[in-house]
Amino acid sequence: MTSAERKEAISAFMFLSPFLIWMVFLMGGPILAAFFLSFCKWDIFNPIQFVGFDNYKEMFFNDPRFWKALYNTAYFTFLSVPIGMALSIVVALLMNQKVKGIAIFRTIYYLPSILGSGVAMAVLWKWIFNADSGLLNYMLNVFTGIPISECPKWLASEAWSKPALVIMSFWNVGGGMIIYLAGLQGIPSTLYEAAEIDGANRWQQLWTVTLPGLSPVIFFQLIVSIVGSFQIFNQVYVMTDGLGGPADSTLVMVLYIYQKFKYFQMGYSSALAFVLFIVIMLATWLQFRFAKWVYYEGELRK
Amino acid sequence: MKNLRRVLAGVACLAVILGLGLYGCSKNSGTVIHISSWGTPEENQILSDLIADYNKAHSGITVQLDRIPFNEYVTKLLTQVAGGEAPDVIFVEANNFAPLFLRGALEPLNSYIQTDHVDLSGYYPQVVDRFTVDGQTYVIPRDTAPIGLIFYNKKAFDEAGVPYPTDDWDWATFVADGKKLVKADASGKVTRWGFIDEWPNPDAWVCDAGGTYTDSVKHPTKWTYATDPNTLKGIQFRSDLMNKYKFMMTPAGLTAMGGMGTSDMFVNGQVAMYLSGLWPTPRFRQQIKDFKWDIVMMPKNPSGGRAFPTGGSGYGILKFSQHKKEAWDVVKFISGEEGEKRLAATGLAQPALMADVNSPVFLDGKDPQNKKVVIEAMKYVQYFPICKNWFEVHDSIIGPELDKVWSGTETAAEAMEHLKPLLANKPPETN
Repeated sequence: MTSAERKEAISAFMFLSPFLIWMVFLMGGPILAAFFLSFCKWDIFNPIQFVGFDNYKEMFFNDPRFWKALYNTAYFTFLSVPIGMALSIVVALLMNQKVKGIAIFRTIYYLPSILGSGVAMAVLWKWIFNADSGLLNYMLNVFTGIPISECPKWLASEAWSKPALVIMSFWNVGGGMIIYLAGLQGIPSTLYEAAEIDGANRWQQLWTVTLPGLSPVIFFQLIVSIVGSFQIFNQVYVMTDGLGGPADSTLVMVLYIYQKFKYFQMGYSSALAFVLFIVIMLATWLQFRFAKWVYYEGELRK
Repeated sequence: MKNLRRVLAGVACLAVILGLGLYGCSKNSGTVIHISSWGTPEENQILSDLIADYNKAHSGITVQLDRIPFNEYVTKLLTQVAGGEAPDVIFVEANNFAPLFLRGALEPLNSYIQTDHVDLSGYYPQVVDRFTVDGQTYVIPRDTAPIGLIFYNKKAFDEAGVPYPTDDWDWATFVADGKKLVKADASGKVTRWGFIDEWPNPDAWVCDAGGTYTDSVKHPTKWTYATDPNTLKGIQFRSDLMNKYKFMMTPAGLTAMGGMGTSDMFVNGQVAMYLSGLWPTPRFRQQIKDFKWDIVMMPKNPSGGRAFPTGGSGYGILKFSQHKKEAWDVVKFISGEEGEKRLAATGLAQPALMADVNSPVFLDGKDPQNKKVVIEAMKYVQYFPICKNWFEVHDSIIGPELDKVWSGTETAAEAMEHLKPLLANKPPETN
C-alpha cells in the first residue's frame, strides 16, 4: 500500500466512522440478539424457548401470509423503483436546463420530499385515493370521461391497492431528482464539447455522455431505492390501519413482522426480519455482481 | 484556549454526573407504583384525580400514571416488559385480557380479595365472570360496554316518514327503514346513508345472528366460525346491507374515513343510523346541534334472538410487579365506588358497579333519552373466546377473507369455505 493509498483508506474510514460506531455499539447487539431469537419461541412474558429451525420451517412450508407479504413487497419494489428512477432522471434532466427561474421549478419539484413520506402524507393520500370523492378519481373522470363509479377503487380494492402504493411512492421523485441533478452537474462539459465536435446530436449525447456519466449515481440510487422499498412500512401502516388490507393485498414484509410482534411472537418476527435481511442482501449482491454497466471516470485515468 | 476547553469538558462531565445523581435520588423516595392506562382526556382526568387523592393520603407510596394510546397499548406494554420497566397496575380490556392472562402475565387476585373481604357481588356478574377463569379472578372491573347500540338521527327518520325504532325491532324492520333513510342528490350521489358502523364490525352481526367463534368461550378447542350457519347469516346480512339493500356505505367510500371518522358522518347528518357502544355519548351531546338523536338496541335476528359483542375494562396487577401488596391497595382504591361514580357522571361508559348504573348520576335525563336500555343490553352480552391467538386469527385470517365479502366479490358461504382449512390449521391456543 502506497502512502497515498493509505491516506485514502484512512479518510474513507473516517467518513464511515459514524456509521461504523453506530453499527458496532448500538445496532450490533440487537442484530445478534434477533438472529438468536429467530431460533426461539418467546412471548416476552415467559422464558425463551429454543426451537431450532421451527420458525423457518413454519414460514416456508406452512404460512401463506409470509409468501403473500414477500410477493407484495417484491411487486411494490419492482414497479416503484424503475418507474420512480426513470421519472427522477427525466425531471432532473428538465431541471438541468438553463431557463430563467429554474430554481423555482427545482424547489417545486423538491418540495414534496421536504414534506416527507411520513404519517401526514399518508393521511393526505388516503383522501386522494378515496374511490367516491377522492382527487385522483375526480381527475380521471375529468380527463378520460370514465364515470367515477367505474374508476378504480384504489385502497379499497384488492387489485388496485398495490398500484396505489406505487403511485404514492412517486411523491418522492424530487428526492432522487436532487441527487441526479448533482450528478449531472458533475459531468465535465469538455465531454459534451468533444461529442459536439464529433457531430453527436442531443439524443446521442444523452445516451453516450449523460447516462454513462450519471451511471455511478444511478447505481447508488438503485441500491438505496431497492433497500428502501423492501422496507416500506409507514405509508401502509397508516393507510390500512396496520392491517395490510383489503384481503392482505398490501401486507408487506415489515408490516407482517410488526403484526407478529404485536401477536406476541418475538421469535417468529425475528425470523421474518432475518429472511428480509437475506433477501435485501441478495438483491444488493446481485446488483454489484452485474454492475459492469457502471462507468467510473476515475478508473479510466489509471 | 486549551484550558478553556478542559474547563468546558469538566463542566459537562459534572452536569452529567449531577443529573444522574439527581435521577437516582428522585427514584429512591419511597415506593413508586406505575399504572398504565388508555382513554379519553376525560377518563384520564378521573384517574389522575383519584391518584392525586391517593398520593395525598399515603406518604410512603407514590402512584404514577402512564397514559398510552389504545392502539399502541399492547405493543408498548410488551416493550416495557421486555425492557424490565413493566408497570405494576395495568388497565385490561375484555379482549386483551385473554392473551395477557394465558401468558401468565396477570397476578391472580382471589387471595387478596378474600384477605380484604372485598365484595364483588355489586358488579355485573357477566363482567366479573369474563375476568374469572376456573374460579380465579384476575381483574377488578371498571366498566362494561355492550357493542349493540344503534344511535339514530330523529330528523332523518321524520324526513323519511319512518317511525322511530323500538328496542324490539327486527332485521326486516331495520332493512325496510334503512332503505327509506337513504337520500341522494339529483346526480344520484348519496348524501345520506342509512347505516354505518363505527369501525368495520361484522362481529356485531355475527353475535346478533346467534353465531359463534369457538366451541367454548372459556376453554376453546376448535373454531366453529366457518361451520356455524348463524355466523354465516350474520356475515351475509352485513354484506347485503352494502351490496344488496345498498343503504350502508361500502369500504370504497370509507377508505379515507378510517377508524373514528364515521362518527363525524353521524354528527354531520350524513348517516341516519350508527352502530357503536355507549362511549360516543359525551361527544354527540357536545357536537350535535341541529337534530335530535337517541339510541336503540340492535334489531333481533329473524329467529327472535340477539347478542352483542362486549367490551369493557378493569384493573389488574402484572406478575412482574415488585410491589404487589401496594399495587393491590391502589387497585382497591381506584376501582372503588368513588371512581365508578365519577365515571358514571361523564356519560362516557357504563360502570361495572350496578348501583352506579341504576342511579340518577348515570340516568341523568339528558340525551340519549333511552339510555336505560344499556341495563337491558347486559342480558345479551357475548364475549370472544379466551385463546392466545384470538387477535391474530380475527384480524389476520378472518378479516382479510371477509374483505372479499364486503367488496361483493365473494358470498359469505364462499368465504366460509376458504376459511375452513385456514382455521383448522390454526386451532385456538390455550396453553
